[in-house]
Amino acid sequence: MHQNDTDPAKVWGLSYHGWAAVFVAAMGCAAALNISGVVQGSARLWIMFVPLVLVPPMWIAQARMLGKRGYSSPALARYNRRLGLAGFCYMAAFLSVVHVFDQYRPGPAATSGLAVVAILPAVAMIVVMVRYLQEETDEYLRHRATSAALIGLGFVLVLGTVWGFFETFGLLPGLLAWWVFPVWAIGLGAGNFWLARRAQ
Amino acid sequence: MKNRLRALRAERGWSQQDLAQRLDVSRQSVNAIETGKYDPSLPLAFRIADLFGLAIEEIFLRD
Repeated sequence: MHQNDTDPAKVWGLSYHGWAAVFVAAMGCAAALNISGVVQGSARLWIMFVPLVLVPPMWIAQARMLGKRGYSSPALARYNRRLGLAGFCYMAAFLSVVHVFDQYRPGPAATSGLAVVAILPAVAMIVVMVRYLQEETDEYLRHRATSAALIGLGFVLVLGTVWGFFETFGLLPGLLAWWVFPVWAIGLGAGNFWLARRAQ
Repeated sequence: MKNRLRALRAERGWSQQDLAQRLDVSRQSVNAIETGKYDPSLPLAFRIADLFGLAIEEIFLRD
């Protein structure tokens, strides 16, 4: 908390780079545990949830870092607030849905409802991004956001294609399709970071 | 595209933040335009030209 006061770009004492390093390490560990087959069943979901929890503070730290470097606008501030809220709802919904599914194993109809509960906040996050592009009046920031989104899209397409072919030939395990959104978000974050470095 | 934005700003003693506020854009937008990393749209180029009381081609130069 003290460090937050001295450096407003940090979240709970960690800079964006710190959060990114922790996130990459958590992703690596979770992926290794999944791919090696050490964990099975619903534990696979729980383990992959750990890196997801790190995404909101990483995003907030990145937003603060960019704001400090002059990337700020009223639309960007609204976007960060809305995305933080939607991200929190996504985590909460994900956690709740997996817990309920694990504990009660509901029937197909109720399970479909659970899936929708998990889907809605993810859709809300996409809507928040679309609204940002509509509301942002600073054309350079809009250009930056669009470029970063395209980098994220390229990242997820390349990774998905590579993984898909390796999976087809039995070299990699099947991947749950909902991972497409977090992977795109990782590409988006990396794109933002690369564009910020390039602009310096 | 090359431009004289940095020189024009310096002549008036404005910081990038000052110019950004006058144009209602972010400081990074001013920085990106000044360093030639981003070419502004025609409407923004007109706003810049109006602010300095110059024609667009007196600020933005052909490569």
